[in-house]
Amino acid sequence: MLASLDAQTSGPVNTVLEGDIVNAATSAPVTLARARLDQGQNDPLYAKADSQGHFAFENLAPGNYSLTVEGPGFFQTCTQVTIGVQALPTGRGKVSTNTGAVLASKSLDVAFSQSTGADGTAHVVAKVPVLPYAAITGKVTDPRGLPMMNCTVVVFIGRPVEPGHIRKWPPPVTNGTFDIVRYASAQTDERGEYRIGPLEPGTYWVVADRDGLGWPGWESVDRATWFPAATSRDAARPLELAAGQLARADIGIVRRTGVSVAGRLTMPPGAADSTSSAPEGATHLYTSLALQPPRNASMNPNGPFTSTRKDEFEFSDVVPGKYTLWALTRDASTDLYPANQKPLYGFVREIEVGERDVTGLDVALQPLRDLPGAVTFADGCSPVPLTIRAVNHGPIAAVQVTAATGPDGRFVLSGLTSGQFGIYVSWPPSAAPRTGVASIHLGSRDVLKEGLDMPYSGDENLQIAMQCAAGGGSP
Amino acid sequence: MRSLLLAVFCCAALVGQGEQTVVQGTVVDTFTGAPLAGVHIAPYDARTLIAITDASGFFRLQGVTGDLRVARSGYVGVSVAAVQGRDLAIRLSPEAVISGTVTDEDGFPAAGGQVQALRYQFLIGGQSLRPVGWGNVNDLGQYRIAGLFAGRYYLRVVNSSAMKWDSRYVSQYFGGGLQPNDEHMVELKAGERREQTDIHLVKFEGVTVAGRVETSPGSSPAWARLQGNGEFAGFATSHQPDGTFVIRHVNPGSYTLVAQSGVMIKAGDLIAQMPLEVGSSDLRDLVLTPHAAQAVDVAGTLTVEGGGNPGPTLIRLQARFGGGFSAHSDADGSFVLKGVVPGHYGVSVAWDYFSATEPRPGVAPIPTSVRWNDKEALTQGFDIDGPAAGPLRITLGKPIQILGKIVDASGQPVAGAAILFVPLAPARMRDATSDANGAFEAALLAGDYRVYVPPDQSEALDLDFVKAHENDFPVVHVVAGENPPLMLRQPAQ
Repeated sequence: MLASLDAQTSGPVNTVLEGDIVNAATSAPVTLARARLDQGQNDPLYAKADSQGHFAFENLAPGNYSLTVEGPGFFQTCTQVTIGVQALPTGRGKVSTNTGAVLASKSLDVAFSQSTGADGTAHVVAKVPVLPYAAITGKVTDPRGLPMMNCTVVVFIGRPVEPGHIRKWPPPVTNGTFDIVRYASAQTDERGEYRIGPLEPGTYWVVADRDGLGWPGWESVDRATWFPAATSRDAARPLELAAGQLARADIGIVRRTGVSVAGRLTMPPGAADSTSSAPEGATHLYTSLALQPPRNASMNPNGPFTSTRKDEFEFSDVVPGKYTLWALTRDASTDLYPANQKPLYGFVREIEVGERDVTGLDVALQPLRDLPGAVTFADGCSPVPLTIRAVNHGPIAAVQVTAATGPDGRFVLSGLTSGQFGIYVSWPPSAAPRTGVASIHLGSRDVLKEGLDMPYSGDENLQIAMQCAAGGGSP
Repeated sequence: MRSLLLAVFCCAALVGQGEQTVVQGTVVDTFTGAPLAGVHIAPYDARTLIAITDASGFFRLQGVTGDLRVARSGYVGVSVAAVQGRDLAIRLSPEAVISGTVTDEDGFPAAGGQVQALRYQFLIGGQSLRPVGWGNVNDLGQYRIAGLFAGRYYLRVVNSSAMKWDSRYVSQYFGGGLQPNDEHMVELKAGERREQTDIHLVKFEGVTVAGRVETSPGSSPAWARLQGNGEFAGFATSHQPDGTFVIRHVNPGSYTLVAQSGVMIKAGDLIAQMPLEVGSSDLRDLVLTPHAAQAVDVAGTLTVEGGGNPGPTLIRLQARFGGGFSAHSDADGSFVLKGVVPGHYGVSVAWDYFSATEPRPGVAPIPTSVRWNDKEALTQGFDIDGPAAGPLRITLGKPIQILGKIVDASGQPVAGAAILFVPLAPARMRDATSDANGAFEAALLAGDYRVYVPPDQSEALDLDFVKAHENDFPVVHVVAGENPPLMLRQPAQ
């Protein structure tokens, strides 16, 4: 105790933070690893560990630090350390990927001890475990066994469904036991091979699909294929990966012909007048169409697309099943860039495709309208200005429009396209702790849970109800 | 390979244009001439229409226009124009592949990195070193770049994921330099699989760029980022609620420091921009004062060199950091680009195909001058921020259609030859490909061109090849009005 007091009064204490990095699965020292020490906006300090996994930082000033330990083949472990107080740091280390994303279900015990050297140097000693990561490699081939290059391979992880958890729109894709969440992706190289890692221990599904552009070897009869050779996730084989495991998932792309889905577009009356001045006979309107499988369908969530400048359309090689047919007409004369183009008409309808060609589908486009709305605050809450955001979650035009509420709590969302929208509300930071959304409705539709399908044919307005915590009020 | 090419303007029309809706042709190996079966040929815009070559390398596609993608595993994919009424002759070259690992000074894999293979390419105003192939570094440190033509390449490692990349290392060339170094070029043969080209990163701390974004109460915060104007892409920042930011480990170079409140700038968003030359010392205490972005209308005129009506034309403003605006010209060549938000823009023009009821003749307009506030902006582009001045004056050159034919020493037509027209004055390079009869056509502005026929159908004309063969290829003089057909004769090898 006296020695410690002397040290404090005779100038700054020389503190050393040192430690040993061990494999969390085997407790063996990690032979290639390093530690990083961050403090606020200062340049981070680095210490490479020796071949026994031992590292040291010397001459540390008192303060709060963040210690991150990493090694090839391992997730990072990150923990907080306070230097310069008598109490020992204790703690749980958060396990994170090398992008800094924390693995929610994983944390590791970091053990600290403290000693004083003969020269009065204070030593904080840590034993830091690191978790080995798993990875999946494989090869994607076509039905002739030739490599499929430039495919996008996506792995999905199963997260246990939490009972009672409130599901807001868009809800996660689920098979009842697991929510199936996109985790990572990679592209196949010219040999058809891919590698995806780091992966945490867990249950994974793997699917190979065509790339957005690039390889024209992907034909319309080639289907997004789940490991090992399934066209639906329900028929796929999940992989169980332990910490550090390397699994192989070779995928043979399945070919399956489908049927044609074709029909006609009908523009609303007066459509020709709403386009900008154009030379005689010019076509400025173009319509994009998408066949979207049900959200929870276990295939590619973005079904076939097509677009047309005529009044006819056709999707080819459509697999039988239930779909939502979406259409959006835009005026390309206003601007070449779709983001600047004025959306004019929309359409949405459920259809079922069987084993035979579908002909003569009638797509009667209707004008897209602005969506007005009003906000009400619960009794006892003081109104604050809000920003209302409508985000299109597909499948055609990924737009986002915002509106600010006026003094009367009213707003108008304009520029909405055709598709599934989520409505999101934000408020000034000063009102943040006490403010929340109670409900959002459009007619009888619960928008918080079900989202919003546009175009909407009713004439109701959006109703947003806000709540505030007890004792809340104007910030 | 000495390929002294003889060029003469000749006197007979060589190319007849059919009006069929069928595109057909043959695909062969560039070097062996052997027909290639199983080659996929697909238009860019239609995903379902695919032709596959048969055992004799022949394909046929109905009802297509525009460019076609041509691909087969083991070969470099190319893009060819879907010319109707002629037999296309497409040559594919076996692809070279280079692979290896990238590690840092600790022996760690360089996660978040991308390895690029670069070559000089001809652009307006000179040559520029550009990536022609790339591959991401995986968790083991491995990279792999496929689809390369034979030739010499620079390799460089860039930070492609700021979240994963160790910021103590700036983007750098193979060999450890910040500048391309000919000593560390990699020479690849056609079809070669080069393995174990391992890259060891050298720690360059770079410099620090730091400062503050002024925030006004009640408005949404604007975040700073450093956007590369040249070789190196950009840097994320770490910023604090009080608006201060620190960007560490920045390569020397030319940048724009941007602070904005939205991802894609819209009218009403807050924005501040500051051009920044980063040298060898830190830049600190920079202050960015954002203002509300104004959307302005940009008016301009379109004229044709030597007079005449440009016809319905689309004018495009392409923003350097993504997005853009377009407008149609009126009958008198005037146009208004509406709602243009602050940014750095380049200009391009194209036929107004939305106003066109019939397909256009094959010759598209080529801008020769773009003047903004009476300053030439054709090659460098220009900035818009705040009330627009202008007007934007675009001058179009009159493209001249050149028809020609290429034959070998014995007078036999050379099919699938790539013919490159490199202007002697700064202007855009043009290219053409000969068909099965050795015939080709190109749209050129009046002027002098060196006409190259490289041995390989490389999209990127390799500067090595150009330097080595500068005197092997002829200069042709293209005049306004009609030009006689261009005859090219390859000497005996």
